[in-house]
Amino acid sequence: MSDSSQHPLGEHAVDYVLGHLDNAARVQFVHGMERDEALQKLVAELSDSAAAIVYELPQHKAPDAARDFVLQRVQNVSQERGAAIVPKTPKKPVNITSLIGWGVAACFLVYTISRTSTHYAELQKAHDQLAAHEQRSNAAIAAMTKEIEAKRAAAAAAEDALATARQSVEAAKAQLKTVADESRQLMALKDAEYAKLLAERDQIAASATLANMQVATLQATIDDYKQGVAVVVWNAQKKEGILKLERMPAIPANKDFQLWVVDPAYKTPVDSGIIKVDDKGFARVEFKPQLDVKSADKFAISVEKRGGSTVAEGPIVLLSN
Amino acid sequence: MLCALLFNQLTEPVAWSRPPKANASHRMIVTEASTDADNALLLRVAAGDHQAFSQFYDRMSGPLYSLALKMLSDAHDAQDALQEGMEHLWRKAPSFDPARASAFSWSVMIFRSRLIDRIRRRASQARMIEKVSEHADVEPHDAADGLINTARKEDCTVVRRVLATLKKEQRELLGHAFFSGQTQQEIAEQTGKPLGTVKTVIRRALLELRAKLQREGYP
Repeated sequence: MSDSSQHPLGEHAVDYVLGHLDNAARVQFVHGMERDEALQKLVAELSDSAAAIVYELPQHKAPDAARDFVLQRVQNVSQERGAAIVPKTPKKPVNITSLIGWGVAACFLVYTISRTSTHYAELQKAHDQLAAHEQRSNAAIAAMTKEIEAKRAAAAAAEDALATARQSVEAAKAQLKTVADESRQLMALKDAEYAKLLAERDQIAASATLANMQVATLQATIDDYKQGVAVVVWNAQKKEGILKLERMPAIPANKDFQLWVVDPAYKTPVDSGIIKVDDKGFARVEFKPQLDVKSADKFAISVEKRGGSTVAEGPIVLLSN
Repeated sequence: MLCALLFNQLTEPVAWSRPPKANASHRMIVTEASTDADNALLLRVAAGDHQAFSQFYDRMSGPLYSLALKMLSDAHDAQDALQEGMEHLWRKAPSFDPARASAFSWSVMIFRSRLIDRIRRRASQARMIEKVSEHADVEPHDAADGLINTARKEDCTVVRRVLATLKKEQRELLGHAFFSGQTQQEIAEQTGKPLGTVKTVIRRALLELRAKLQREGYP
């Protein structure tokens, strides 16, 4: 087999030889074959092989009549051609009728040649257009191939970049994980430190609270109240306090004990509320003076009318030192 | 004239160049002698030599008439086609170039092309094609009695032997494509095979036939 067996148009060559190409494809194929010696060779070989298929047929002798007919026809055709080329008719006097006849014939010949030329020109034009189209197609294919190659290269580059980026991301992830672990450890340490600081702060606050606490014991100013016990715990910072009374004697029903805070900032003691004592003479109340106490110098309890007074009127029965 | 030439170029397969000769052998020598004789005769025919045409007719009419019988399935039509075809070959002989085709291939392919045109013109095309197909594989090979010279008979023997080595499907579809004049689409519809399969099998069959014939030193 010749080298042309691997020709890229090998399959088209088979179709061409067997007459399976349509007109447009056949014209294009013939045009391409004119410039391709390998394709010409392949077509010739395929034509030989295709023609050889005739030998597969049962071989028949052609009828004798056909031979006589063909040879006679060919003889006639030759004579017609010869007659056309070398007119054997003798010269005759020219008459107007024959001139008209020749004129018509000449016109017809000119018309036929004109039509034929036009047809040929059209075919030639179609051929040229097909050739140009093929050339444009080839150029377009080449451009597309180039573009595809460029895109392939770009895709490969992008893939590489993606792989590199993936590696970077993985490295960053690992680094971030390390940083996160370290941060967690640091946070744990900070939390511990913070907790410790909070504890210290609470301790300091507690200390500060205690520092602001003032405890006062009230003494009876009247003998009837000498068994009574009265203690005030005063928070100077919050300006509030707790009063605890025990063994207080009973007082008339229309009377109430009332607590007072003595502050030099005010001319009269500041009302700090009435105190209800139970049957056993016990009471525990949290109080907040009615006015803003700057300095609680003394605490006093008086016996006032029921519901209390705005200004101390009754006798002071207990007074702190 | 130019139109006619171009028309012929567009409608008839053209063999463009000769394949390389295989290694020398007795068969090849006989075949080459036959091919050269055919070519020489056709060149003389091209020059208007009637005696040469008479000899050319005697050498070619058997195979061409057999082809016409096969494709047309009618003796009368086949004779008519042969007469018309041989006259056509006489007219076309000046365009024959032995550097591009053997006289035998050139004649067969041009004649086949005209037979296909004739088939397509016939009103009973479909019925006729069916008839061809029915007979495509059942006709027994004869003893090549229609071939009048020894080299031609030897070619016939070689081609039949090589064709027999093709696969059955290849042989059937290639024969169908060559003898029926149908398009590949029509062959696919008639055989019930996918168009792609038909194309592939036919193409491979002809390429394989070509390779095997070349190994045998044909033509």
